[in-house]
Amino acid sequence: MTQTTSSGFVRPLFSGRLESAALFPYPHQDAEAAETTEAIVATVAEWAAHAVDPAAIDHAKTIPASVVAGLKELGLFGLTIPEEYGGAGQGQVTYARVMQTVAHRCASTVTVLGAQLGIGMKALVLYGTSAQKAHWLPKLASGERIAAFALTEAGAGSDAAALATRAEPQPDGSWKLNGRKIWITNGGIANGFTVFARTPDPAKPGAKPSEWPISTFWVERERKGLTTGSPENKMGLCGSSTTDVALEDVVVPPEALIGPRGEGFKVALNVLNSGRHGLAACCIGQAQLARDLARAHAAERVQFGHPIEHFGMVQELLAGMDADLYAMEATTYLTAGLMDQKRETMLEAACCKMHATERLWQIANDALQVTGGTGFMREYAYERILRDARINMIFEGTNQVLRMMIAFQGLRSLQRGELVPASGAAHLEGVCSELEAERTTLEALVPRFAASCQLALRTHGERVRAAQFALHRLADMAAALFVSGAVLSRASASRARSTLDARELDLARLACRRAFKDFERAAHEEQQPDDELVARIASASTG
Amino acid sequence: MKIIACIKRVPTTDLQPRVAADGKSLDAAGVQYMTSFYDEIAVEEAIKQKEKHGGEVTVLTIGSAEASKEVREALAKGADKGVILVDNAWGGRDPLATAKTLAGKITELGADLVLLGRVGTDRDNASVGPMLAALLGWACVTDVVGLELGDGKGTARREADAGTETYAFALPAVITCQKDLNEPRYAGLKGIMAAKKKPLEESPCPPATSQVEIEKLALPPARKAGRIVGEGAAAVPALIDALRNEAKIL
Repeated sequence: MTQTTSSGFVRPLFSGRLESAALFPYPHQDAEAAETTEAIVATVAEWAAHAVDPAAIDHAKTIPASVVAGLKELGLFGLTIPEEYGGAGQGQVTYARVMQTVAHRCASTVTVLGAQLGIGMKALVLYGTSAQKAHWLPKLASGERIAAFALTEAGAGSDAAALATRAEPQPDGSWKLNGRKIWITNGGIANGFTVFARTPDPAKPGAKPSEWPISTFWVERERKGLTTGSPENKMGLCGSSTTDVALEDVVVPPEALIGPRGEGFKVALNVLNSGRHGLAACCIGQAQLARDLARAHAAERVQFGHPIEHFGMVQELLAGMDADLYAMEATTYLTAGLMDQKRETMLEAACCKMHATERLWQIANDALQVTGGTGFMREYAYERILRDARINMIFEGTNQVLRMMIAFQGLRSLQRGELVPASGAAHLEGVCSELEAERTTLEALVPRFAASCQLALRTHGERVRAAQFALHRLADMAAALFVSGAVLSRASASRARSTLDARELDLARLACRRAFKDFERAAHEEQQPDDELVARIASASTG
Repeated sequence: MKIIACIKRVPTTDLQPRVAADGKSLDAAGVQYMTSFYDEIAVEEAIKQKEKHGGEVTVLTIGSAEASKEVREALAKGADKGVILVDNAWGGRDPLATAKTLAGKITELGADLVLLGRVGTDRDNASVGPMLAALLGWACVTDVVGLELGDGKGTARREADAGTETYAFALPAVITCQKDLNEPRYAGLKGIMAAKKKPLEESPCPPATSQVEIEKLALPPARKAGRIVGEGAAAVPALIDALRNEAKIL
C-alpha cells in the first residue's frame, strides 16, 4: 500500500504555496542503487538494439516469440516484483529507466512490459495478501505467466465507475463473474487478468447492480468461461496484443478477491497512478528517438547551400525538442524519486503523463516536419513514432480526464478546508543562483494561480466539478508550475553536484520559459474566455 | 575445473580519439569504456565450460578500480569472483609487462584453463595470450573457434587461411578466443543482483617495467575538403585534368 507522508507539490499550489520540500533536493539514487540501475539499463539497451526490430514488429503486427523470450530471460517481467517473490525488487526510478530504454527502441515491445508491470500485476503487488503474492507473483516474475489489466468496458471508458461487469458471491464462497472487457493490452498473451467487477454490498441488500461497489479479482486464463477475442486492428502500437476479454459465468475461488471487497475503484486509481508514471517514461524514450533522428537529418540535409540545422525555423523545432525532453525527464524522475520515498504523487504522476504524452506528440510531429517529405515515407521511423504516440493521450486516463482530476482534486481540497489559502508571497527554497530569474517568475505566478482557483470557486461554487472550461485552464496552469519547478530542481541538483554546464543551463532556462508561456496562455484564456462562444457553437446542430 | 578469464577495459569502439597534451596517450576526457570485444567471448566460454564441467570462473584484470564495472558485468553473466590488479597507468603497459603480471597472479590463484580474447580492441597487439602461455610454460592455442575439454586435456579448433586446424593439448592451457567461438549472453536481472554479492578483490599491482614505451601518438592527417570543378558534361575535361594532374590517380 502506498503510504502518503506529504501532500506533494501540485496540491498545495492551489492554496498559493510552493512546497519546496516536495521538489528539493532533486532525488538521486545512492551509489550502489545507481550502479545497479546503470548495469540493468546497459544490458537492456544492448539487448534491445540487437534483438528488437521495431519496423518489423510494426509491419507484422505482432511481437516475435524471441523478443518475449528475451524479456523473460533478462528477467524484466519481474523487474519491480519484490525479491522474496522472485522478482528483482527494483523501485520506480529503475523501472522508469528501463521503460524509457525499451521505448527508445520499440513502443510496441515496451507496451507488453508496461501492461505487465505498470498495471497488469500491480494490484497484486499493492493489495495482495502474502499468500496471494506467494501464489501468483513468482510465475509472473519469471515471465512464465503474463498479466493484463481489465477495467475498460464498452460503456465504461473515461467513466470507469460506470462499469457493468458483475461478480456474484456463491454459497460456497466463490465468485461468479459475468461481463465483457474491451481493448485489453496483452489480452492475447496474458495468462492472468486483474478484473474489476461490481459486487453486492452486504449492507445494502436491495441495491440495484449498477449501484454495487467495485471489487478487484485475479482471474486466470484457464478459468472456464473466460475467452479473449481476436487482436484489434490499431493505428499504432501494432505489435502489442489488444483484445476484448469475455467473462461468462467464470467462477473464481474466494482467494481471487484482491484487496478489500468493494474497494476496487480505489485499487484501480492507485494502479493507474503508477501506470501513468511509467507511460511518461516511455514517452521520454520515444521522444529521444524522434529527436535523435531529426537532429541527424537536420545536420546532413543541405538546402539553399546549408545544412537545414542552420535555419532559424528548424532551430526552433530542434531546440524545443531538447528543452521539452529536459522537462519531461525532470518531472518524470522527480516523481519517480518521490514514489520511491512513498510520498503522495497522484497529481504529480497525472501531470507527468499529461505533459510527456503531449510533448512526445509535438516532438514526433516536429521531427517529421524537420525531415520533410522523407519523414512522410513509411520506410522511415517518423510516421511509426507518430502513430505509436497517439494512443498515449488516450489510454491510462485521457488527458481530458486527467485535467479534470488535477484541477478538481486541488479545488476540492480548498473547498473542504484541507488547504487554506496562503496569505503571503510564495517562496521556493533551494534554487541555484544561476536560475534566480526563473525562480522569481515562478514565485510570481503562484499567487496568480491561487487567485484563479478562488475565482473558479466563487464563480462555480459546488458546480465547479462540471466547469470543464475552467478546470482545463487551471490544470494547464498547475502543470506548467509543476514542470518549471521540477526543471529548477533538476538543474539546481546538477549545480550542487558541479555538473551544471552552459548547455544544461540553457536547456533549463528554455524549458522554464516554455512552461511559463503555457501558463500565460491559460491565464490569457481566463482573462478573455471564449467559453460561451465555444459552448454555443459546439451545442448547435451543424445540419 | 578452475578457469580464469582475463579481460581488459578498453575505450568503446565508437570513440572519436583525441591525443592528450603529452603527445603519447589518449585524452581521457569523455572516453567511455567497455570490456574488449574478444574478452567478452573469453568470459562467455569460461562460463559455458563451467556450466558443462563444473568448477569456478575467476575474472582477472589489470586496470584502475573503475574496471569494477566491467568485472561486475562478467560476474552478472555467471563468473564467480573477480580480481582487479589496480594499476592506474595500465594503459602504458607493454604486452610483456601485462603478461608477466598476469602470470604471477595466475600462478598464485592456480588454474586449469586461462581464456583471453585473441586481441585487445584498443592496442591490437594480440600478444598477451601467447606470452602468458610461454611464461607459465603451458600449452597455447590462439584464435580458437571451437573448444572441447576432457579429463586433463582438450581439443581446440582454429580457422587458418588455408582451412581448419584442430589441436590436441594437455591442461593447463592458455586459449585465446576468436569471435565465432560463441555468442556472449546478456546479463539478466537476477545475475546483476547476484553479482553485487559476489567477491571482488582489489589488490595493488606490482609496478610494470615495460620494455617498449609509446613515444608518440598521432591521428591520421585530416582529409582536405573536396572541390567542385564545375557542373554537367562541360566540367568533365576539367575533372579528368584534376584527377590526372593534381590527384594523380588516373
